[in-house]
Amino acid sequence: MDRLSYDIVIVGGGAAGLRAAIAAAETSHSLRIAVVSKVYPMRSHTVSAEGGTAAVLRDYDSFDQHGFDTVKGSDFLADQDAVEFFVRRAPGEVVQMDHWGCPWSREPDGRVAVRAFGGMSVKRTVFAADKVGFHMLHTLFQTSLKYETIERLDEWFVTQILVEGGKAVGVAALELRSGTLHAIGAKAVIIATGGAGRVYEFTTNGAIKTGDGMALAYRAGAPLKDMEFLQFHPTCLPVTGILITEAARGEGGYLVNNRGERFLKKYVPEKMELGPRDILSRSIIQEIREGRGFQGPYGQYVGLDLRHLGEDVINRKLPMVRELAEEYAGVDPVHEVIPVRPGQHYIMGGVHTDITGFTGFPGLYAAGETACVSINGANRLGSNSLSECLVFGAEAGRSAAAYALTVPAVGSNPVSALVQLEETRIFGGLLKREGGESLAEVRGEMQHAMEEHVGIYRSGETLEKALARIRDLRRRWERVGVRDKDPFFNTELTATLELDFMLDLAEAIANAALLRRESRGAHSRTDYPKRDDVNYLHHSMAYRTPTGPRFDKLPVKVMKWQPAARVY
Amino acid sequence: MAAATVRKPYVRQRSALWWTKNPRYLLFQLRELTGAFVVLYAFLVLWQLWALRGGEDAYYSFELLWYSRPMMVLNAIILGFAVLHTVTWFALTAKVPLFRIRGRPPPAALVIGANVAIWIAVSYVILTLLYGGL
Amino acid sequence: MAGTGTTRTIKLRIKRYRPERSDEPFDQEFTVPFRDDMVVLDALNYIKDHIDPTLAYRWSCRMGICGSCGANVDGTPKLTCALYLKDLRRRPVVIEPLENFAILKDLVVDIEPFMEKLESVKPYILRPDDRPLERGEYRQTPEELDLYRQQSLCINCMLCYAACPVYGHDPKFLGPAASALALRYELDSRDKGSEERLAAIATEHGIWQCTFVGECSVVCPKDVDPAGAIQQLKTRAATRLMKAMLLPLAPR
Repeated sequence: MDRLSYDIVIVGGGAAGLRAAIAAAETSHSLRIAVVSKVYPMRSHTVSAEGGTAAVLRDYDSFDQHGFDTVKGSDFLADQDAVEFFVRRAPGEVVQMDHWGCPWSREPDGRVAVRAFGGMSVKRTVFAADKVGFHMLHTLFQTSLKYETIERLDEWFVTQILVEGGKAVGVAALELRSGTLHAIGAKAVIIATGGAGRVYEFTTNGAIKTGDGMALAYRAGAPLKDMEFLQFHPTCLPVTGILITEAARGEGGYLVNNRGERFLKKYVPEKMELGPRDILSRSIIQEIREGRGFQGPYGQYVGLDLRHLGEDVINRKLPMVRELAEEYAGVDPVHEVIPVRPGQHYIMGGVHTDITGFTGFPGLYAAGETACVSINGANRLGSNSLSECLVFGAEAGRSAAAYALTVPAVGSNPVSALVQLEETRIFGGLLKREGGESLAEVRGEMQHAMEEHVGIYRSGETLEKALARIRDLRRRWERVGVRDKDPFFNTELTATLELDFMLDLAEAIANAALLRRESRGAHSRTDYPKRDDVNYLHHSMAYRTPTGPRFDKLPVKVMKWQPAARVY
Repeated sequence: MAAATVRKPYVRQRSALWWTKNPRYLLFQLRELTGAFVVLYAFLVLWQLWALRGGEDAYYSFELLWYSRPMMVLNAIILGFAVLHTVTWFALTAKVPLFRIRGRPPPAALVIGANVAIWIAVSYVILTLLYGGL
Repeated sequence: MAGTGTTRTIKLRIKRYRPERSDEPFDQEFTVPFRDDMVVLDALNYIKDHIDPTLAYRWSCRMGICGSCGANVDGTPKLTCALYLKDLRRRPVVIEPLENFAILKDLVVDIEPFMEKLESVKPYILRPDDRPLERGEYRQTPEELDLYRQQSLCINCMLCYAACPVYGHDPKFLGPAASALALRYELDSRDKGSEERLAAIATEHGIWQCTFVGECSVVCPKDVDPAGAIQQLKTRAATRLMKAMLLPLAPR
């Protein structure tokens, strides 16, 4: 065990983490910054984002419009001061990405192009074919290589935020290549590890989205906000859960039932396929429940029809959609309808932060999907999350940098004692476990319980079932054995640690959902189907205790836009 | 006090027969080999020129060798490799587009076809000059 | 594959390496249930979840975009998430760590050399003057974007390095993906760093070591055509050299 020391440690190397690193590096050349990621940054899940990044770039658009669309999309749970800040910063970020080489798709005159997207009243979603996340991530990663003050610790798995005197003073991380646990001292820690989709059975998220950072912050003592709000994306391929971007609908695609009807005219008559995701996902589930879905070997689905767009448009604007549909669903969207169904995709909730990315816990910051500012409230509009990563990634980087510049250098070695405990927990405890439970089984049951009981529709009854299950699984996790006794590149050990994190988050999610006795945005209670602004216009704040989360309320900042009926 | 781990990255030895693993590797090796045969032919031509200085009689005995069966076979082999050399060379010309047509690189068939056409035309001219036609 | 009445199964032979156990890699065979819609990655996950949790391998997105899951399957470098078991002829299916990289553990290889090469080509926009953000984006027409689009699609999966016999022979070779990335910036109308970048890559172990085997472009899952990219770079580097020699006073 040895000790490294930086001014800023960023956990997570996706869009938000890398943007924060660059922002911090540009704030001051004297700051030493480490990006600590359990995977090489090019593998971060940002890479799979397809649709686009929203920003006000055109004369026909305005900050007020983007702001209102976002607040309405959030079912009025978003903090409006944060939204106002966000919409004003997003355009500059898009231009900055262009300057850094991001291959935005273009208009014939060379300006960055925009397209329509769900819940957006005008075209404002900037895109890069249908691989926006891939291009953004590679641009940010490659640009970050310019800065000598940014060091990367690739394939280092952070197991704990080190806290001393009520402040975050660093992290403990397992270096996979050597199997050693390191203490990494820091004046400021930024958590940017993305969401936690792997808590669910059917998700667009990749293997690495296990909510590590959220759990780390939660365990350190920072609150998790709005955890009950999970976004289910309407169009995922059955079985694999692979995402088919909203851009397919933005370019004009239709959703059809087994009668070939564009069924959304019953649910979202005005916006149709470009309605917000929560409403669309519920509509699809309704159609299927009423027997108008298609039946496949692995369940039911509806159809995404792109045939009328023509081969040229599909190849130019949606090439990856075509590749994915062919490779993983065996259909060519030029000639056939793509099978799709809703799947978990994003979590609106996360580590509570203010507009600057500060969590309230001294020395601790967060940005990206991991954080909850909140600009997304109860439902996120598509293409706002990548803009969020850029705006708040940059902001968190700058805040952490400003803070780190004020903190004096640490003299002695405060983190070493803390790490020894962690070493004992992992090498003396976890690694030695023989246990009788199977990691895959416990994990699978958690995912299934969440899918069944904390899904698009939930009720007090299903949520209680989920909580009972989760508590039981938590006990069973204690008996999960680790067969791979070699700490070096031990993916079984890291998977066990990830499951530990996920169980904490599952508990927070189910509890938060149980406490919110209304339906708002993506949180649909069959026992409380109406939105209740009188009692529930607040954020839920979950604090970890040994017996489960303790909840607090945080008022929503309502300014320009009063909560109104949410109709599309 | 992390568990001591002896980490030894394992470097695999490359097999000397790596080029037998797939047909493209084999083609690559043959392509590279064609260079040797082209050089060999250059030396044969030099030998032929050298033989001229000895006068008609000496050249007559040289011609017996030159038109012998083994030499025919060797020439056939060299011709095969020379054609391969040319064909593979032309196939590569499409890889570096020197101009664009309506924003796209020219189709490979066009570039390769043009090179082949020029080759055939020039070959025809040379044969005509040497033998007064085919 | 077993018969039709029972669950179909398929046998895999995986080349494993456990440095704590032995100095040499060893083969281990596994039999997993087989469905037509399973990719190789699904089989690996089945083994890890139900048979042997110690099996180590990289994966994440399972949709062919993150580049984590490269391995040699039946002798060919492939993304395990994009290769269907039903398309493989040999039994058992042989899975080995990505060729030409040192093995760390099981199917996990050391990609640090690749990361260094990526960095060495200066893969970012280089220009002496940066337009202030208030003045907006650099104009780039769809045609200009199309010039470097193909090279921008590289997911850093390194299948090309596994396929390249030159890299197999000499690990100092810059290699296909890093070179394609260099060309991506060369061709980007916003970049002005040609001089610096070409100087960095037109070296003995840079682009000039390529003998145009072309296998990299054959195995590339994203059609980046790194082989073509390297030849284009050679032309540019050679042109630059000629210009420097013949017109030493001309502006670059």
